[in-house]
Amino acid sequence: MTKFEKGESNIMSESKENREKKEEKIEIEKEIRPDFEFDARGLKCPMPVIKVRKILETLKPGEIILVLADDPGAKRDFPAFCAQTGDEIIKSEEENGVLKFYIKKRTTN
Amino acid sequence: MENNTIQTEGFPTPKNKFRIICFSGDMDKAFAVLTLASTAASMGMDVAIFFTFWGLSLIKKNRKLKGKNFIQKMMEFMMPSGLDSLKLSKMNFAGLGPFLMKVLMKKTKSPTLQDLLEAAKETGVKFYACSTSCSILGITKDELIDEVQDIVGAATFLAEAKDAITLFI
Repeated sequence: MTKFEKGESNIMSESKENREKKEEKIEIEKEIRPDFEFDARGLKCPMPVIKVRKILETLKPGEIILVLADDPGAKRDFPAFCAQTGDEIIKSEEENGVLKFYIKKRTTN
Repeated sequence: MENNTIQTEGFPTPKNKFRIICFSGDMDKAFAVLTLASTAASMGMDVAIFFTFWGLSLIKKNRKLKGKNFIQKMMEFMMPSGLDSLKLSKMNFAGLGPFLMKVLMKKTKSPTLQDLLEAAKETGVKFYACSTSCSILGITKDELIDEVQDIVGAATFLAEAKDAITLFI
């Protein structure tokens, strides 16, 4: 959430054009609609990653899955996982100890 | 505040092959083997585990005495057979340790060895058994779980381990 505030303060000091671009970007970010939601809360390492992998296999390329996790290892596990598989984390946030990852399935094999 | 930012970039991509020599038949070490194997496979890596010596206990399906000589029969009786019967490498206390460990895992909702084995199977981890230890202990392929692809030798492992991350557990 702090990240968002920082972005806003930057907008104030930038040109109109840039501001519009950023606002547009924020608009897009707000509009992320996951095709699938998976609640991995309560699952311990390595089950969140393994289960998400299984779901990703059933999704079409470009589809988005929202993962909720509260295992402390998940914070670094999902980015590391995606670095290897080629899937993309388009947004991530943490609220009250719950991690949210928006993962877009890779379009290439 | 720092805790709130999640690092999503700059993670190294590991090698694409992962090999484990599973030498020990301890419950705690089995967790390490199966956790790493199933995770690596779900990350898209090519994973194979070579079970040798005490590690064969992990992939035993049943006890079989037929076709074994006297000493092998004794070994068969003394060795754990299957994931459920594994002992802890420390604080085993004649079976109390593993029991308490299972209770703790249930309480904390951690994955069990069976869960991890299931995950490993589903993600395509390859299982191999070592030929020499099998013949010393008189173990045949029909005593091992169906996922064991083959009974292989050291040269096969070395060839398979080329350019791979390799662990000896």
